[in-house]
Amino acid sequence: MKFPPLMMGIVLIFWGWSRDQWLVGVAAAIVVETLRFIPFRLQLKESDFRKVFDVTVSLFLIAIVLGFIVLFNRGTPALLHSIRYWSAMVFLPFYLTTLISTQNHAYSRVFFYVLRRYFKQKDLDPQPLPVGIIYFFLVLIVSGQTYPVRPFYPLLFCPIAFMGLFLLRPLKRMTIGWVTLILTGCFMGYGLQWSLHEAHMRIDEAGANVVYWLKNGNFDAYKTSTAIGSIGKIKMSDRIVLRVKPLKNQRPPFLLPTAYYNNYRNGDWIAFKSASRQVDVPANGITWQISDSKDLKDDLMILMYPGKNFETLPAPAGTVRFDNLRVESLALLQLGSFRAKGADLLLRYRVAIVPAFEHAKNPDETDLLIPDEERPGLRQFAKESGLTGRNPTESMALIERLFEGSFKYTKFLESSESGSLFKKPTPVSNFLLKTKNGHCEYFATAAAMLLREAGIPARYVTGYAVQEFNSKDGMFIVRHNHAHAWVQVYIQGKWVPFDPTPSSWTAIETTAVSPWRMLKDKLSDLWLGFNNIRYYGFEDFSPSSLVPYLIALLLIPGVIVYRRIRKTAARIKAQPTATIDSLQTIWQRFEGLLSKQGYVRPHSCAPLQWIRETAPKLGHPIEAEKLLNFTLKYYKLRYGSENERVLESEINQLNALIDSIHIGDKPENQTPHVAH
Amino acid sequence: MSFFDLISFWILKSFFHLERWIILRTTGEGRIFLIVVLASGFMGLNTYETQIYQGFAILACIALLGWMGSNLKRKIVIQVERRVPAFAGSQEDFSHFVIITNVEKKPLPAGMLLYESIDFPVPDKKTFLAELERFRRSPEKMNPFIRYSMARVITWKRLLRSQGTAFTNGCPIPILKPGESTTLRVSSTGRSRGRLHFTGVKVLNPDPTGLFYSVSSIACRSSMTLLPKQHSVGLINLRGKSRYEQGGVALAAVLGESEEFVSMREYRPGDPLRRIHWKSWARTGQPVVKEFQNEQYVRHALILDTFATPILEPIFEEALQAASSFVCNISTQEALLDLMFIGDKSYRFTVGRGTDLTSSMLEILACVRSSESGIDQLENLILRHIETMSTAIIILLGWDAPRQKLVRRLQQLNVPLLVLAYARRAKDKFDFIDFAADKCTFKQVNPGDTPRVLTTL
Repeated sequence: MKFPPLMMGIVLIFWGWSRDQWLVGVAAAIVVETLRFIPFRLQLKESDFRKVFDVTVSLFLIAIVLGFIVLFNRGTPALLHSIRYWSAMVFLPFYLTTLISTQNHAYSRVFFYVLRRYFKQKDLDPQPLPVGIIYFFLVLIVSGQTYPVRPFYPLLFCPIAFMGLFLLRPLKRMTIGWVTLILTGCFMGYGLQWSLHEAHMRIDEAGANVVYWLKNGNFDAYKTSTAIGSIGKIKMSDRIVLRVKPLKNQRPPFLLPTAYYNNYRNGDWIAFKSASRQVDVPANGITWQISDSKDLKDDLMILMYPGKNFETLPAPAGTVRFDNLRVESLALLQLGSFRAKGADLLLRYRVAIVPAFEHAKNPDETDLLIPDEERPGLRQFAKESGLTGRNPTESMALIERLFEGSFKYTKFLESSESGSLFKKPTPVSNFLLKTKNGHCEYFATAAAMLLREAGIPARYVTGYAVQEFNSKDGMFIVRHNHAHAWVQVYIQGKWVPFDPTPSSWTAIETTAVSPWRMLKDKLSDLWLGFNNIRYYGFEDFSPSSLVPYLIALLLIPGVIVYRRIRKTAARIKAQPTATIDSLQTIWQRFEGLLSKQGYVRPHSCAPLQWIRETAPKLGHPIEAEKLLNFTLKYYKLRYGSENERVLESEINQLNALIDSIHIGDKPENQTPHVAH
Repeated sequence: MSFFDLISFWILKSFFHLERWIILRTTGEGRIFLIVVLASGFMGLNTYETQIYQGFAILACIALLGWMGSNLKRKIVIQVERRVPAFAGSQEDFSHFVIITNVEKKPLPAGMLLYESIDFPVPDKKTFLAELERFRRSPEKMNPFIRYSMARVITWKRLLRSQGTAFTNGCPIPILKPGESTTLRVSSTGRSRGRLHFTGVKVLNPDPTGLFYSVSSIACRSSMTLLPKQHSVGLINLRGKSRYEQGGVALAAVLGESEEFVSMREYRPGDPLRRIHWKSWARTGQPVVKEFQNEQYVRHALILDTFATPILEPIFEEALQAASSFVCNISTQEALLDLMFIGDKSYRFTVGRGTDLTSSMLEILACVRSSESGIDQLENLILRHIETMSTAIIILLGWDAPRQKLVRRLQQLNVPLLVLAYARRAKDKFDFIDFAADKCTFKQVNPGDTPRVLTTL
């Protein structure tokens, strides 16, 4: 297959454009196109092709192995992406070999040892392979490994693919049709690629749901793995995790903590030196006293499904008492987390809060620890933004202002290709200095590190943001995507919560609402209502809340049954009522009519033949026509397709036809007319 | 039967149909294009990290449109007549002719291909599982990986070879005007022996993108036989003497030696009356009959051991090749050749001296399959016909005790023997010392060594 001029050059330049490797792309294009004008060719043997291919593939495989080593060591697939991209250049020598050879193609048994043995064993003739077209498409595909993202990539891909497909089309065949098909395919493909990306995100979310379901959304009291460094969309669903009901006429705290950590390492936060203290088992088994506080009214009620891996108990800061908490044991960690074990399927507990109360231990050296690899980036940022030398309050305010103004909250993170392939900046440094966008874990981790850098003890807190109020049942709904991370800062002798994430994050989380959410919420409410009754009796039960569900329960089956009845009735009505007997009766009636007038059909004569012979002799063309029509219609019904139904209406038509036939009396002196 | 066996069956069957789909429905360029589409789909899986998925989407839509276009193309209607040879070699190239006539009112479009439709013996689930079980029960020593894992692939391939199959090349169809005919020469390569059934032809018409074919099937049935491979055989001296053929010419059903008058003798009760020599009776006063020389024939037996477990199938095929070679090379002008083997029952076929053609016997050998019954049945068959046997060529699939017993028995009956014993592996060594005798020749045949051994006979 001969390549038209410039075609391979164009695709190489396109490859160069996709990653700003203009020099290499253009140089390769020039080399490839220039060879076309050089008449010099080499008579190469199959062994020469094999050697070139073996060297090429060996280099490629070594690069792949290296890429995987880097991936496992540093967790970044950047090298693999680069290898994939540069494979176009790795295989260029092999393509050039075919260009300068006299054959202009390579045989299939050149490739891979396995194929060579196969052809030898089977004693088969090798197939010539069009190396040029294969290389063309290889370059076209790997050029998709773009950096940065090229919005015009698909638009430029189409005409280049068009060129390649033009070479593959059957000669002299329907050029207009071919062009129309390819253009239609390009348009369809352009639409499809959006759907693919969307589908990928949905699958990720669904996967997150499964993982979340398996872990039941519980936080580990001693370690949490963040998504710092991960690429792609942060996977959060809108599944309801817990419900918070204020028992006093005041809004519950916006931040509902679950676990506290003080040591950061490579994307994980750990609760270091956080011994636990068992809370005394209460006499009644359900009222757990954290401190000696009496005559307190409960502030909040929290409903949640603990699940199998349940560990940490969501509790607002200042919690002094848990009421109606049905667990086997409760422990308080020094950093402030509550660990509970042996919970029921549904927990519905109440908490009493004393804002001034603090059960977290005072800060120690762990609350100022910064990993060595983070220091350079933090120092640079602190220097650039003027954080150095400020007091805690000023530092917090400055950080908040900086993050709110210069940073952006996003759930979607692109791959970072900055730095060298082997030494890359840490994700936190990259976030602070380069990308300036991330999710709450980035903001919280960076803020904690920056405060520690400024000498202010800080801890990392995970929990939920209580923001969505359901006026119907007077509860705050907390969903999976309301999970949040913030910082706890030690200022003026107490731990103060500090949320450095830009406030726009709540709006971003609430915009992407699934169309199924309402239905899922209703089902969740129904399930909660059922479990409430099951575990807590009819306390707080309102019968009226079940009415819509009862109606739905009765309505849906009712509609289904009604439609079934109608379908059955229609089917019965549509059944054929005519049978073969009915048709035979009609024919007998027809024959009887004719025989009365002296026209008798001999037994050996087929009905249609008899009518064809008899009808012209009647002397009444119109009646003859009727006879013929009747017979043809009868034949069609009687001997037609097995699947055809004979309806009653058709039988009636035949009867009507018979009634309309008027044949004159047979003359007396005529013998009965018998057709042969 | 395990769950994995069932899954393997469906996977193998799917791959088989997929392979046939690819051969019939995709052009050469289409295959390259599909590989490109799949590769781009694989590389573009992570839509966060690469834009390759965008290229994949475009190429996939083009492929889809091409496939849809191939399904919507009009079906080609032609008249087909096929002329196939009666026989061909199973691992050799052969060609036959197909005459096609354009019966449509439009000329045939350019670029079409004609492919032969061959009836492939695709096994059903029950057969596959039964044969798989049979393979696993083979008493021969086997690597457990082969016995339990590779057995599935081996069984599948074996079942696909259970009747004649061939690989046919597509033949380009020229542009034909309405009513015009042309003769196409279709070249094929035999894959496995047996009856090869052509069920029809498929006319492949490429779609506008040139990636897929639309397929029009035209029924046209024919059959031929793919014979086992034959090798040249050295000059064998089959030392056999004529044996009395009871029943004379009638039962021998050959043009045998004519009856010759030898002498007279007294009448004995039971002698046919037409042999009474009346003149002598008149002279002697007692009934006298004429005595004739009885018919005698040289009858060679070719005994084929068909008791092969599935693992011995390759050896069985070689044994068949040896048997076919003998059939082709033994002169049957003056002798008869009896082929004996056990299939689903006992079989004995005779060729020579006008009884039947060598080609018929080769045809029979082409369709022989291995048997599950024991060597005793073969022994019974041989002993039933031992009286008429002048010499015996025995082809055995091994040299175990039952087979040695059979040979010993034949030696005791003074039948000159030529024994070819096939070894499963080259390192196996058979000991024929105890069987060495006059008029008996023993040869061990290692796998792949059949041509050499036959030439050196």
